[in-house]
Amino acid sequence: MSLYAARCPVVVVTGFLGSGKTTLLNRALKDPALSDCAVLVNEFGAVGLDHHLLEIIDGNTVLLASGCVCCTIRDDLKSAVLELEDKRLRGEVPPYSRLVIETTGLADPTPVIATFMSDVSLRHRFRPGLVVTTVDAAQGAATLDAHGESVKQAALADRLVLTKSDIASAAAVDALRARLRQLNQSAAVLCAQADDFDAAALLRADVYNPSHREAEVARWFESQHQHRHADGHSQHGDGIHAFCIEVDEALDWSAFGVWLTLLLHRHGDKVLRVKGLLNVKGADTPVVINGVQHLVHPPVHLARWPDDARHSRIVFIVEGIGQSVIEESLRIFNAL
Amino acid sequence: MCGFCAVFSGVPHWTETASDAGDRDSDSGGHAWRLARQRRLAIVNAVLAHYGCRVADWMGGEFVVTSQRGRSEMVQHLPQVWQVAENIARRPLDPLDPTLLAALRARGSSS
Repeated sequence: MSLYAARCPVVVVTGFLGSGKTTLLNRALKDPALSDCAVLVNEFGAVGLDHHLLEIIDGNTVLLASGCVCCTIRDDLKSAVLELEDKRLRGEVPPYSRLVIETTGLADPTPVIATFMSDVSLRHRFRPGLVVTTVDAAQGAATLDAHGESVKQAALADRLVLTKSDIASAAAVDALRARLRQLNQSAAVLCAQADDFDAAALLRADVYNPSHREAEVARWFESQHQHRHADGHSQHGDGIHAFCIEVDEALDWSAFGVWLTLLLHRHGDKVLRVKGLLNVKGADTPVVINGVQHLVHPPVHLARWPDDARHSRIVFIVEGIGQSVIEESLRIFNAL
Repeated sequence: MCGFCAVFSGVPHWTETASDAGDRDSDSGGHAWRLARQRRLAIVNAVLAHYGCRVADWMGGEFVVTSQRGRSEMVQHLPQVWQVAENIARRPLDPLDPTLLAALRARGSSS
């Protein structure tokens, strides 16, 4: 296992007010397999969680020198995590190998992720894991209409969990699923009321764990495949939307790195997620890239191609940027 | 940390951690890694030429961004190169800008 994969993964559980984050966590944490999980709750009110490794975070935020909002370091979060680490080292709390953070209903998850990727005192021990977003099946559509925070929480997710579907009509659930796929085609949409729903598996899944990696990457593009067949090719440039670009020619890794860093430098506030499987010149196996706004995880190789198609495919979740302009720009940089 | 200049070497940027050239420490003497770094610099300079600046390698661990008037700044990673170049050029560097793409397309087809 690489050094990056060996770090403690941080799972962010987010979702709008009243969307069922705590209920989902309570359900997941009953699984004995998650007894080595520490939980941090960003909550001002009563905490409805019962877990032996629970800490509360107060609200506070510190901006990085660059002033970029999505790269904001959450100083409160950092303090809470370092305190938890101190307790672990002193033997006051049991060892843990996974950290779960429940955000407030109005929180933007990106600064939480940025804190673990950017802060020098945290990034050697932790790394971001999945973002799990709960969406109330009954109220979700109205919430997405009224609150930009909820749209961003859904767009940044690796897993979207529909809650309270037992009190929503089947038609409303189907419409919400379709809307969420439009927003974020690379995230699996799960229903918490489904018989086969495994809440604990949500917190265990991990693209940087070598035993999960191939299945996780396949999931990104499985959703994309279904989306494309259902809705056609996305060319619109307004609002938050998702699309997948496919490049037949092998990518020059140097050109790709230059291109993506420049794209994220200029448009990182509008490029909410980038998830890609790249056919890199000179590499026998595909390279996986995974980014949230300006933040990009270290790339990893898959052991093999998931199918016979050896072309690059990259899912973008963007706000106000069209697919064709991104495709054209990448092709021009790749030809330099 | 460099013993001569006391410069801390930070965590490698993601563009330098996995590539067709391999990991920095896994190939013999880092030759492939240096070639990949030179290739990255050439591509960055193709972009920066459009904005009146250029970048050079410094000791394999830093970049020096220089304006046409000779103002220089040293940075560690590509995102910092873009920020400094933008400050020097006094305009945004945009990979989706049609005029930049036209210039790069012309350069690509002439080389």
